Amino acid sequence: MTSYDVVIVGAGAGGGVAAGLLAEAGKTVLLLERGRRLDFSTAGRDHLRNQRLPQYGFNAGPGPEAGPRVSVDKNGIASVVPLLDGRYQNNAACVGSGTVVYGAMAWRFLPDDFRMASKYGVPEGSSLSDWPLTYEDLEPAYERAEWEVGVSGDEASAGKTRPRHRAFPMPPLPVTAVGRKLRQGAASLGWKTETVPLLINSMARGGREACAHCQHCVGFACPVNAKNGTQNTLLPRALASGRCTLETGAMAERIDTDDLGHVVGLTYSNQAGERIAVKSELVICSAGAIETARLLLNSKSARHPAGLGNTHDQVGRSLQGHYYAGATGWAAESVWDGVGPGATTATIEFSHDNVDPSGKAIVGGGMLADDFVMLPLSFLKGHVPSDVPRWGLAHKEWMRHHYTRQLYVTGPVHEIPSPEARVAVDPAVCDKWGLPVARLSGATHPETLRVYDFMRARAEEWLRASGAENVRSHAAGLYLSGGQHQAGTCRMGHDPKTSVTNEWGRVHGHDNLYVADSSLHVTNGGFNPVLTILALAFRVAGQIAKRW
Amino acid sequence: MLQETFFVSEQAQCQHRVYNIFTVFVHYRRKMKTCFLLGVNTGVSLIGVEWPAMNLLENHLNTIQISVLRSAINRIIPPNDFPSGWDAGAGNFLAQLLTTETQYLFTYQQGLNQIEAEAFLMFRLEFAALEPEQQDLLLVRTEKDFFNLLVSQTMEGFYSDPGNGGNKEGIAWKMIGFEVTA
Repeated sequence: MTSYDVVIVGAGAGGGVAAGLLAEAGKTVLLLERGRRLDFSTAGRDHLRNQRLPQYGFNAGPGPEAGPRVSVDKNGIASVVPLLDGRYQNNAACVGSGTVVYGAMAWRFLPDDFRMASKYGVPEGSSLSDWPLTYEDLEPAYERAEWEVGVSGDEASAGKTRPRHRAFPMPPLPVTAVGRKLRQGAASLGWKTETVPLLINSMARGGREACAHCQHCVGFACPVNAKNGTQNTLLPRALASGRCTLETGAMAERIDTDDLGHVVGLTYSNQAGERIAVKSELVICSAGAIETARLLLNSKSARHPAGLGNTHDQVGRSLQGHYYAGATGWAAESVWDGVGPGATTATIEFSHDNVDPSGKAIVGGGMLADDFVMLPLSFLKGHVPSDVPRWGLAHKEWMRHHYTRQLYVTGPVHEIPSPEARVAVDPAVCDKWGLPVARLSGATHPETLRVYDFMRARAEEWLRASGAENVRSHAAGLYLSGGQHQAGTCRMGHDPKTSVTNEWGRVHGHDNLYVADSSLHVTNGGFNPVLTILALAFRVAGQIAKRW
Repeated sequence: MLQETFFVSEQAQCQHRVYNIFTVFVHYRRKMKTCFLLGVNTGVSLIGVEWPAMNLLENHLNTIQISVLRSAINRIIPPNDFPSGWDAGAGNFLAQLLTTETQYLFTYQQGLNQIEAEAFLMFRLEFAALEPEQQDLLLVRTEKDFFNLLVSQTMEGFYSDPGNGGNKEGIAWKMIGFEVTA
């Protein structure tokens, strides 16, 4: 049986960082990825098959081999849902995962995001909790992520809200015509704005070019490889060490334990469909909040009848993602300059300390920003007002005269987690490897809707102040959110009864089983989560390397 | 005779409906026979469209269905100073789509047959021969799920990337102002 120091499951943001750090620290690493390698040409520019608009498929995986999931609705009715169904809550599966095709917003969470329960109290029925670490504890890891993966950002404004010890490695990308208009609008309201930090080269760096400002950033791979992910930073470092074996098309089946319950290795199916068992000193789960939870739950044994790390029924609970609050309006003239990636101007005025119109406190808040350059079809499917005819000459003329006049701001709402929003494994439905599929149930906590409504009212206010007409936003109901921002299913904490790992990502009750992905997030912030995922992986893997 | 009795009573309409559909069926048979004699499905296009994937469409739909599809698409996206949906390649897009996404094929065949049948029931003419206003009237009466699908996929053909077979030379993007520079 082949033996490695470390087996890492999933080559995304978390797994890529862990592989790089541990291989450079002298460990032999087996990095398993169920997807394939992608580059600009293989990811393509198909407007109907991409991670932003997967009408008929995903360009960054997974493919149909992933099999279905089961979704349980609010009445307890379970349905088998295919990959392209929104209820599947898909996340990318390829080398680099979402970091190949993301929009690459590089937000640090705010200090208050780590102490939500202390700051606001715990709403009834919510699993809202403080993180077992503070912003200051994570700050050095944020800095490593910014420098070693590569962030361009606005030093002057970012430092005011997120204390920093080192500048961004690159200046911000240019502001678009939409961004300039929004900045004027915000200034008239007395709101502060800042340039969106991005994991994109604003100048040549690391042997790769600067951003070419194309119109196909989010959802696609970069034509000049200026978008920074683990696939072009930490992973090449891992492979250059000569100690990392990357195996693609490999599906982790179970984490193996001995008679005493000690983790001894892992069994997976390789690309050829052969089942392979390997020994390892340590296993790190970085498969994303749904698949990491599924792997732990599917690794049942006599010593761990409910799965690994699940003695207290915590694995898979508090699944959360992001509701997106936003508003659309129309400028009198074209505001489209087509300068990609397009997300340039944000406000974090409303991340905390908000009150609703009746004077009652809102729990948390969110960030608002302009959006990435929008695909014409995304515009058509999601942004045509309901009073515009759906077809015919009137529709065509409307499209013709409105695409370049759109003003749109949107952003992630800090979700208030519910312990009933969860990942389990289905007792009946299995994938092609014979593994029980993820069974998703529950919904976000109702408090999230109050935050959402507050934020969309701010979005409307911002657009009106920026000169937009016919400003609209839409109400939302309760649903389960996960998808590309999925998080929270193996939360960190001091108490094994209410968390899955300790503050270093080590699974309670085990000395050699770790999690390094968004599953660790106790709460998911009111920001795009990737920089926090990267930072946590630097923290978790850095600590393993230091102590071993 | 049929025209005289067409609008008599609901009951009579029901009875005639059966008869009329039969008539339409006979009409299809005749038309198909003609098509066969003219050599459809041998790569010779009867519909004067130069798109490379049109032969694929002829694998999926018969000539009448294609004719209905073309007219319907041109009402969903009519011409202005930019081309109509069909002229911009939405039919070519669908030819490609129905080749890879075969689950939609039966819905198309059935839906297009229904539109043609309704055209005969209501106007005694082929759908393609109707006035635009008459075509619109029939389209809004079409079975909802099929019409929604047709609208949605026509739009996809017109506004998605030319690599999907429609939006010839990015003409829809030129119209709305989406410019690809890199």
